[in-house]
Amino acid sequence: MTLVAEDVRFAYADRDVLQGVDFTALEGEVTALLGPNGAGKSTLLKHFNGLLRPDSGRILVDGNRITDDQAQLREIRSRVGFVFQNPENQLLAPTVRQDVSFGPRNIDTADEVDIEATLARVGLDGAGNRHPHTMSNGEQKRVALAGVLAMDPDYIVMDEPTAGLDGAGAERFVGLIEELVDAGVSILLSTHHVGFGKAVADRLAVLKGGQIVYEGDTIGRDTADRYGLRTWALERR
Amino acid sequence: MHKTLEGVQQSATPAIRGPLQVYLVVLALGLTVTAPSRLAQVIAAAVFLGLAIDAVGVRPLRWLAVPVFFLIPGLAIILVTTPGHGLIEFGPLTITQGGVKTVLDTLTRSGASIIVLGFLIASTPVSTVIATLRRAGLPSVLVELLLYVYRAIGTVFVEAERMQTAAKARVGYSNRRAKIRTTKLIASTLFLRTIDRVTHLDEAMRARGYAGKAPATAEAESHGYGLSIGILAVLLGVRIL
Ligand SMILES: Nc1ncnc2c1ncn2[C@@H]1O[C@H](COP(=O)(O)OP(=O)(O)OP(=O)(O)O)[C@@H](O)[C@H]1O
Ligand SMILES: [Mg+2]
Repeated sequence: MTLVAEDVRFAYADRDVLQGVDFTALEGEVTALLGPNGAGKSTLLKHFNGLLRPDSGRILVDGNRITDDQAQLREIRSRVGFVFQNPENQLLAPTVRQDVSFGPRNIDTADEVDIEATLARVGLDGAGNRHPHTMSNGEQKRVALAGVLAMDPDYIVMDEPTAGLDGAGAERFVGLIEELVDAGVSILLSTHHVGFGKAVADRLAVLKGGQIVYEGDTIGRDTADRYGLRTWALERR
Repeated sequence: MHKTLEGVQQSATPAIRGPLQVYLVVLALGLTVTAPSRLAQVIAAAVFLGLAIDAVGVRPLRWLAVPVFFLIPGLAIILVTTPGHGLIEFGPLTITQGGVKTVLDTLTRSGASIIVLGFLIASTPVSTVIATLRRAGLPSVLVELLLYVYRAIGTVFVEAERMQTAAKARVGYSNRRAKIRTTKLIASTLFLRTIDRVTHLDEAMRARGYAGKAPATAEAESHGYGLSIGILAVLLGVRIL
């Protein structure tokens, strides 16, 4: 399935954030959305899971425009998983196990999902009984990801998946993304680490000033510099 | 589209500003709560609704409905438990004339009070309110307690809203069964999360030098003396008439 934004405009109260965004993330690929802080990456990503609606323009998932139809939203949200930038915005249950099984129960797949195996996939074996709000930020991020993996989506939209992870955590993440791609999952992620984006993505796009200002299958240092992106993050290690 | 309370307060343009606004609202609130006639309450509500709309527009004021919503169960109980001359009977429940009168009375009295306070809440940052109350000599223990309650209530709302968005993203409200399950789950986490957040907030405040006395910045200048005097005259006038 593909995710498409067509001439999307969106404003919060008095702040115009998206000002005519045209963007495509293709099936079977890893797409990285780059952009400086406050460019509107999170805002754009939330549109693909129906959490935000454009003021004008269209969001298409697999060619179908997202509308207010509840049945359609349910279908889209079960196929396009969304991992929040800040795990505190995503976790909602008193224990890790309850949180990870939340999505599967809502889409009636709880019987088929092995929660322990899902936790092991993100390196949290045996953490099922812990309280998410007492876990470290990096651990919470992994719980949040497990909660989406458990729904077995076709597409995963991840907002800043490596922000706040240590080197080993980020590296494990690259491995996990490769695994997901091999399993046929398509991925759209945002990052301001150009190095990480280049390491995992088939295609990169830069969002700046409310529009997509660059798209390509790699990005040079000069281009990155021109758009005010950090280029050294992972490369320097 | 989306605007937080802080955002609304910052862009508000109240006709009466500064410490004067706090004093006026406190006085008007006293007059409204003790008003002898329903007319006096309706007039106070109309005046302050006008002031609030003038300050922030209509949209942000829909939040005023939240406290009214909390009143409803209480009013329902009053309606069927007040003894007196029966009007309508539903099985074992009797609605009495006295009950209807008490409910109407409570509704206008509390509705009007909420609107009077709403003008202040919608258009003035909490720090101004605190500073004014402190300067007026309210004991600092009381002021800090007010502030603590205000923070806790604010946190409950913020956390509840975050978790609702989170639940939406994972199809938490797709049918009735899911809705009930999600609401139960959020309710059971809300308390823990709120305590956790308030504790962290406290930590963050102490880390930046808070020692039981919240920083408060009062707007030095008061504006709208004439209007305030006029309003007080009207509120007092309807009592005398
Ligand atoms: N709920 C909101 N209300 C008002 N403004 C908001 C809200 N959420 C985000 N914004 C503003 O919209 C702009 C874009 O925010 P967004 O979170 O989409 O940026 P981002 O590219 O994800 O940034 P970052 O790299 O810091 O995560 C910012 O200027 C931000 O302040
Ligand atoms: Mg973001």
